[in-house]
Amino acid sequence: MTSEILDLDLVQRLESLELRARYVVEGFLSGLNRSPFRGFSVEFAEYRHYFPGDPLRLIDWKLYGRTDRLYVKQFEEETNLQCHLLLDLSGSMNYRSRAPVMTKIDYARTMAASLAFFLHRQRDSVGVTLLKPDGIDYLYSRVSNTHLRQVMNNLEGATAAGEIDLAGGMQTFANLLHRRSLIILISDFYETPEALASALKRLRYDHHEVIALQILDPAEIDFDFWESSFFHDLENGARLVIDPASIRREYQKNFKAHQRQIANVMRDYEVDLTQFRTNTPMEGALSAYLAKREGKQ
Amino acid sequence: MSWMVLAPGFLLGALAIALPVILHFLRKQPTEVNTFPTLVFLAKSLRKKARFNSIRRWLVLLARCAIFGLLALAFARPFFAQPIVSSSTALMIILDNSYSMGAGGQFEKSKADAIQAVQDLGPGDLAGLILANSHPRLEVPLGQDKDAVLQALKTAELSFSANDYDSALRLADAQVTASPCGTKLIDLFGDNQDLAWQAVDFKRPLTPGVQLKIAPSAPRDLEDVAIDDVKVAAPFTAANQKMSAEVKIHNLSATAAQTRKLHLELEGKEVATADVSLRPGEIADLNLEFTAGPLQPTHGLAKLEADAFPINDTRYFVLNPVSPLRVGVWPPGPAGEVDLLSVALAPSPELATLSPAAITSAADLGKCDVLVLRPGDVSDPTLAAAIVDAIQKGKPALVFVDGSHASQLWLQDLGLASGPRHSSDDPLHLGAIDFNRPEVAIFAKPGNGDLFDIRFTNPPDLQLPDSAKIIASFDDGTPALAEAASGQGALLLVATGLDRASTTWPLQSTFLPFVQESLKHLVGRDVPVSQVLVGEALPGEHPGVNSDTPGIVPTTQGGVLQFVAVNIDPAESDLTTWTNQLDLDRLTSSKTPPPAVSFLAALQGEEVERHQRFWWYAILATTGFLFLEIFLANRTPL
Repeated sequence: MTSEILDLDLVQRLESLELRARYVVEGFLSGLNRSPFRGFSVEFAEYRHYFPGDPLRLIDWKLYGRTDRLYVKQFEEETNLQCHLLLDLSGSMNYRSRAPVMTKIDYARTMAASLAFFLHRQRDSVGVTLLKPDGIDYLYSRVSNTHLRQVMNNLEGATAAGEIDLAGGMQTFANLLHRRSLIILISDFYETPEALASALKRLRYDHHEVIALQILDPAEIDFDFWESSFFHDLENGARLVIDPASIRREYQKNFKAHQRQIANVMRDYEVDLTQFRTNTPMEGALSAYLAKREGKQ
Repeated sequence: MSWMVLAPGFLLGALAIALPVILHFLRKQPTEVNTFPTLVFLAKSLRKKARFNSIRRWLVLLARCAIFGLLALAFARPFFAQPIVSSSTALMIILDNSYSMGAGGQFEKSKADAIQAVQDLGPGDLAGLILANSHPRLEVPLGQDKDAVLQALKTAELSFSANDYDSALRLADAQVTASPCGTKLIDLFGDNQDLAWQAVDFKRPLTPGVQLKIAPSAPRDLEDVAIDDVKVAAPFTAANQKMSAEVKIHNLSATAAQTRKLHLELEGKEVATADVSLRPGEIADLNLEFTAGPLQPTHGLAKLEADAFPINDTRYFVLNPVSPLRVGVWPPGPAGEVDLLSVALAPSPELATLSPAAITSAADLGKCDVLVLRPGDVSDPTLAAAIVDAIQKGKPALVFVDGSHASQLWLQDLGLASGPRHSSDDPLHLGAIDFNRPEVAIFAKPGNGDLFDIRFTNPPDLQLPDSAKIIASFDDGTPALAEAASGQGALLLVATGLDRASTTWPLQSTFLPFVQESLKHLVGRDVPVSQVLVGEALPGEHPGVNSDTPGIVPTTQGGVLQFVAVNIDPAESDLTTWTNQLDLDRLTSSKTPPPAVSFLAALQGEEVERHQRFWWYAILATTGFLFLEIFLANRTPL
């Protein structure tokens, strides 16, 4: 798609999250063969029979003159999605193995902002919820420039620290949703598969569509450390003296097992899981969203 | 069994064990801090590995400590041995295994007695074994390994040698004296043979404190007739030569007359027999004539019918061909007189080891092995020049010179000189003789003639170069016999003429053997050795054979194959028992024993080594631990 165009280093150097989002989205769009925008616009989508109570301004009087029947013009705006971005702000997201790789939270924020910007351009309503150690920070979804600015501000101020209850936060979030929505969950998913399954079950029960975007640093996967050293846990501050060479194989085995379990849970609840390394382009997230939206329509 | 260390200072090296221990407990903590999203998976992995790594770390520590500890222990040389106290006994067994012990089953009886003596020893006692014969051997050094002594006793065999108790006693004395034991005992198990004790130096007692115990042995009077010697008279110089063997037979029974049949065999075929009757103790010489075969090395034996002591019933002899030495004599002897030189060169057909011939032309020189030149008519200058030339090219010569002008010219031609003697006409005698020289060595033995009796009248005064070797001098100090060189030729110069006015020597019995021995030595042809006793050194080259058993052995002497007969010492056949108890008592010293030596100083080198083999095991174990350390240390995290 556009991996050659997007420059992660440049994205990282852009200070404003909104600028970063614009850069990502524009780069993504310039790689597409056709415009993905079909949402809110003056473009006509279809007709339907008039039902009492429908606004009279939507009746196509010309068609009435030709056919002697009342039809109402339907526009894309009515079929646009309500989308919520859920961002994991646990301490583990504050990790980056080495420069110039972005921290996972930076990568996630940029990805969330890009999605918000993209959704806004498509006239989908977008909200953002930050999952914090002390609860959730919920911002409802809406389509407006002002609201997009609010979303961007929330994302701009999001910092990752401490331990959070990812599954619990998702449950709380689910209680706040009253309309069927597309939920984009951005996290590293260091959560027990059982708790995660419970939260996803609830979301799926409420007929929400869920996209999971997993953000991982390359070092988490490869564990390419060599010297014996202290390892400091970013979530709970614990420390361990570890000789990486002696436990590398065992770590990778445990890590892959966890990834397999998470993937199984996602598959069980029909959640599309896409994994991102912080050293790879993030427009895949937009592709995942588009694919889901197409499927939904 | 207890242990000690020979070099305890090295045990301090074990303190180095502290090094790995300190390193183990003061392991360097890492300084680098890595943040990580979550330690959940790391902790899980670490828990699984922690026990395994902990065991490995302890194993590494164990290996390192063991390396230092074992090295220190190995270099300290641990020594395991039964502690020896002053009440212990050091018993040195002397077992006589000379062939006389084979008579009447004495050897088996002595072995059983010796085994019993060793078995009677207590723990902490020492034992050793010497096999006594003409070459006593320390079979098992004095030590704690009594099993080795018992095993050696059980496997001990008779030798074919005679006996020598003196050497065995001195060897045993040195062994027990060096032991720290309070009781030092030499136990001699033998047949108490008179011959064995004859060579013992009773004036030299054993070390004070050393006790000598001699196992009793019963006198043996066997019906035994032995062949003491076989001699073949004439040299073997021609094929199918008539020869005679002189066989000495001895009736060793002190009480019974004996009759025997003697067989003489050559190359396995009987060539002569004789019957002999002997009174008790009688020795008889028998002459048996036989015809030798082809002129080649031949061996034979003389044997009697087997009797109660069969080992001395056979004796071997050899016939080694002798080619006569070709001697050229010049000038001819004086006409009308007995040529005593010619008589000395060819005394009889039986002594035809020389083949003399007069030199009449230069062509005769090439046919000679050696020349004999004497004073006389030298009127043929051409022949004289040819002789000088032959000598200077390497032909050896025995040269008699007198004070004549002709002799002086001779010496000048040969590069030497002589002058007239200024003393009176009183006869001279030999004043100093080097009997180590082979030309005169046979005269060192009493009965072979006296060279000092020879009278010389006005002999020449030889002027010899420094390189000449004086063999004998006159009593005025001037040279009488000398070895000198002329060109490449060796000369034996005799400062006397051969006429009766010059010397009495040619008329004396020493002249003939002197001439014969001198010529053989000049040519380099010594008489080959044809017989040795068991255990004696064989002559010449004899790869792969020795003289441990009687028989015939081939040797190469002077580049020629020669047989050598190996026979037992006939003296050992005499079983007469030593009866002088007083002499035996003199061997035990009445002086105060010297202080006991320390335990370690008392041990023999091999025994010290045997008791400290742990050294090697420790080094081996160290190597093993080293490999373990290398293997584990590279795979174990801090």
